[in-house]
Amino acid sequence: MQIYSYEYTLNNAADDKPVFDEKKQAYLREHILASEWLVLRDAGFCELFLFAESSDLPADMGAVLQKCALLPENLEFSEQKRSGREAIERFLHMVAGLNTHPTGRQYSNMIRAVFNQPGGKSSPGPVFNRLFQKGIWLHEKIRLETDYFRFALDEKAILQELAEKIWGELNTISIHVIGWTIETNAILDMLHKAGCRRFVFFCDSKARTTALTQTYGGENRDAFTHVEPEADMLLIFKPSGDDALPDKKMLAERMSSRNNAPLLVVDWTDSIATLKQIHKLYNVFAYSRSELSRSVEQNRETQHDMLQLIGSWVHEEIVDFDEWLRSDSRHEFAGMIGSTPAMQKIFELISRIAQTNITVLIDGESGTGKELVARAIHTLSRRAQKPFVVVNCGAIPENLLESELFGHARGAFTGAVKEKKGLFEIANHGTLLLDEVAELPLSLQVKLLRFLQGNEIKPVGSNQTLKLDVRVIAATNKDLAQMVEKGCFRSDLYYRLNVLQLTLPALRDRKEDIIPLTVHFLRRFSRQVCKDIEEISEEARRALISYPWPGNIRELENVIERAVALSTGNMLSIYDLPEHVQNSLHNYLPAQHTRNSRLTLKEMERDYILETLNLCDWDYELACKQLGIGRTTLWRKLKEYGVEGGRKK
Amino acid sequence: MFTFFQWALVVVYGIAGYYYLNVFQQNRSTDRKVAGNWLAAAILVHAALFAYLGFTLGRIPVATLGETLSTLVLMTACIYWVLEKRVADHSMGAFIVPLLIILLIVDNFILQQHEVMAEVLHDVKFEIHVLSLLLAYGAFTLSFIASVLQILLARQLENLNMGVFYRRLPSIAFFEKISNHAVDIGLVFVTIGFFLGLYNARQVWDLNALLSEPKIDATILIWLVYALHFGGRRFAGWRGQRAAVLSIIGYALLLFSMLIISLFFVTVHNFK
Repeated sequence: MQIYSYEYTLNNAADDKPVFDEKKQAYLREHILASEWLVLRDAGFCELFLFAESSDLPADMGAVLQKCALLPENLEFSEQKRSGREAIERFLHMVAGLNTHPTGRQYSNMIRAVFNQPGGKSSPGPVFNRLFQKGIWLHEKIRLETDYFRFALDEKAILQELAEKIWGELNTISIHVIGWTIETNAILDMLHKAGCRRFVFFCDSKARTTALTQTYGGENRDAFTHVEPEADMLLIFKPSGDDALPDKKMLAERMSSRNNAPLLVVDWTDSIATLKQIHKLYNVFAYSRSELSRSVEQNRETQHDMLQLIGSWVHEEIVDFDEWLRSDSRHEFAGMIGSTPAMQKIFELISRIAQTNITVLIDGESGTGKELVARAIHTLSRRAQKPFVVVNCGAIPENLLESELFGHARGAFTGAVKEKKGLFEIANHGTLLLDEVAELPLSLQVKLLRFLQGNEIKPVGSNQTLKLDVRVIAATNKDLAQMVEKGCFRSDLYYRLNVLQLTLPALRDRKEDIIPLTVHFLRRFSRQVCKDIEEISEEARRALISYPWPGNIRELENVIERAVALSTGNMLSIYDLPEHVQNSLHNYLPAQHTRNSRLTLKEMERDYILETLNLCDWDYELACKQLGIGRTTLWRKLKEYGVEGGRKK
Repeated sequence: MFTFFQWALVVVYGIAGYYYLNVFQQNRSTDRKVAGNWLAAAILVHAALFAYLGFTLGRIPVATLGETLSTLVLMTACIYWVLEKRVADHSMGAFIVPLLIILLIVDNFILQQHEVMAEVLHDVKFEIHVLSLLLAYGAFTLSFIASVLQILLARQLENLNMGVFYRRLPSIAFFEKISNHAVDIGLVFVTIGFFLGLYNARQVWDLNALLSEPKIDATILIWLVYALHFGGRRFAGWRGQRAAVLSIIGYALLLFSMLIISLFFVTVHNFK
């Protein structure tokens, strides 16, 4: 169980961005043998990050990527594979922006895009999500606590920085450009982006001057003869030996005519021999290209020295992540336990939408943890410090519900002796969970819809409307879509509530979570009654897994509470469980049936068939295919074992 | 007890100074707000002490050297705090706050008993005269720091030395602007304070005594330096470090007038 990275260097610059379609996506999903992966692909480079539970990865990952057109078939490439901490470090470096390679920034942006716009060739899950969050956090820490990202790392950036150190704002300075080289446009682009608009061009070629004026605005002159008084910055792109270059005398004239207003001279082609003398003029800052290059080197060295401190931060994050990856808490999220893909997907969605204000509709069978999900959304949002109010719409009499939700004015009805705040007002700036929203009467549905559209409520008997900031989360165990069809629920409210729907799976559909949940409840209730029950007997485990849990987690919680109260030893035995749970033991599908040497052939066959059925989620057709028997045979055998009712019909 | 609070005030300014220096050295954004908050706390404590002293003495505490120094520190801190909020730059704090701490420590050592002073010092005109001058001195303190930083940044730019000053300080134009505005405001208040003082003094002392008064001579000199700063910029178009150097000279004269003359010269301004 670890992170891997595959870095591919393409040996031909002619490589293009590949076209990735659904067919290739399916192929990748089938052959990558990992639970989560990220593909960073652009012209000239490709990098694959993946998280796999086992080390059985494709021997030739390059070939898999070629099949999906993520690597070109006709171009040569080299592969560098990293695993474990090395791969985690590479990922963190990329997200945090520590990759100083020219394409480093590109990588960083691509990773961010993967998480902001999921889908396509990448399939990140909770593991990469956590690693990504760590990378972002590292980036922020480095940005806020060091100068690492503030160093100018090329001559253009140094030039801009120098200008900003002299004038602060660059939008009023006049830049005079003398001559032209291949780098001129890049420098002018940078200055234009920084807000410079006043350019004067002196070029020997009329066409060039016109082109520059068209691109960057400003004026053009025929040839350079003297430094104009309004010049604030002189950018010289002329070869040495050229007669038309500014000299000390010209600059002294400009300084005296402008009352020594600061002047920045940058000799980009190192062509002015007297630059040092010019530099001595009062308030003239003159630099050659080579001096700027030296500064770049200095900045790089200082930045590199900082890596020692930053490296220790990265190391801490790696250790922390590695520990998390190997711990049970990997399957925990904001107080919820769930290792199944369905639950992991829900955790991922929660972490994504928590910071937004969108309305969420949570549905699922009774006892699946809808309130916990709503609480997690609230806790992870910016409203965490504000109230989280839960109202069970089905538990309050219809005639009281309106005043409970929206409050009432004094004298609004008989008995309303004083003004009362509604739950919406109490939840202001926080979150309101409308549990069993399907029970909301039609008259109140209109009022709720009005709030969701305008964030305003009108208390009962009041003429004033209140503007509130409440995030509404609705929960139900009913099929709202069906209720809309039957006319029991307003369709407009349904669509307004259903901006994002989270469907919680029933406990019987996430059997892997039963034991971790049992352990969790066991610890909690043992602590409460001062008992020391830590273990669960094998038979009890089997019974717990086999039982269909129609009441879901709430039922499991109650069963464990009862079992802890009844238990006499340090181990939870099958006899501590209620009878109906004990009875489910005969449906258990042992995972390690081969170990039990005392099983008869018939029993072995029974176990194997039930295990296969369980693996196929009781899909008879698929199970028959896997077992290599007909459907009638399977039916007959199940009847023989006494499980003809089956777990699922 | 009062001495304890005065030293406690130095400690609060000290904490603010520590955070400002931290912000300057390490550029930790998280410390910026903390530094500003500690400075605000120091100002509040200082204002409370100022008010307490005022109520106890029954006058604005600006009569003795110790009182004026303490009030100068309070005014400068307030001016800087407002400026920081307006320009959202914290770099000057690392220099202003330590300077204020030094002035406060000097003040704590030289602060004499708040003895019974001459009757003239209870006059409102006298208090406005001193407060105007202190407001002007507060502005000149700001101009002094801005000028020093302007010169430091210009030196690093000339040598292309991308050290910590280069990285932290905003721009030469920024400091030039701050320094010029501070001098303009300071000049207005020093003029008001000076003429109000002259008006008060004429009622007590004769003209000869006034002309031989070292404190008045020093103030005239300070006024002339800052007037030259203003005139040079306004009429001769001075730019760059020239005006900054003049501001530093003006401030050196100001400290000389406030500390050396008051402590070591025999002057009628001692009001003994």
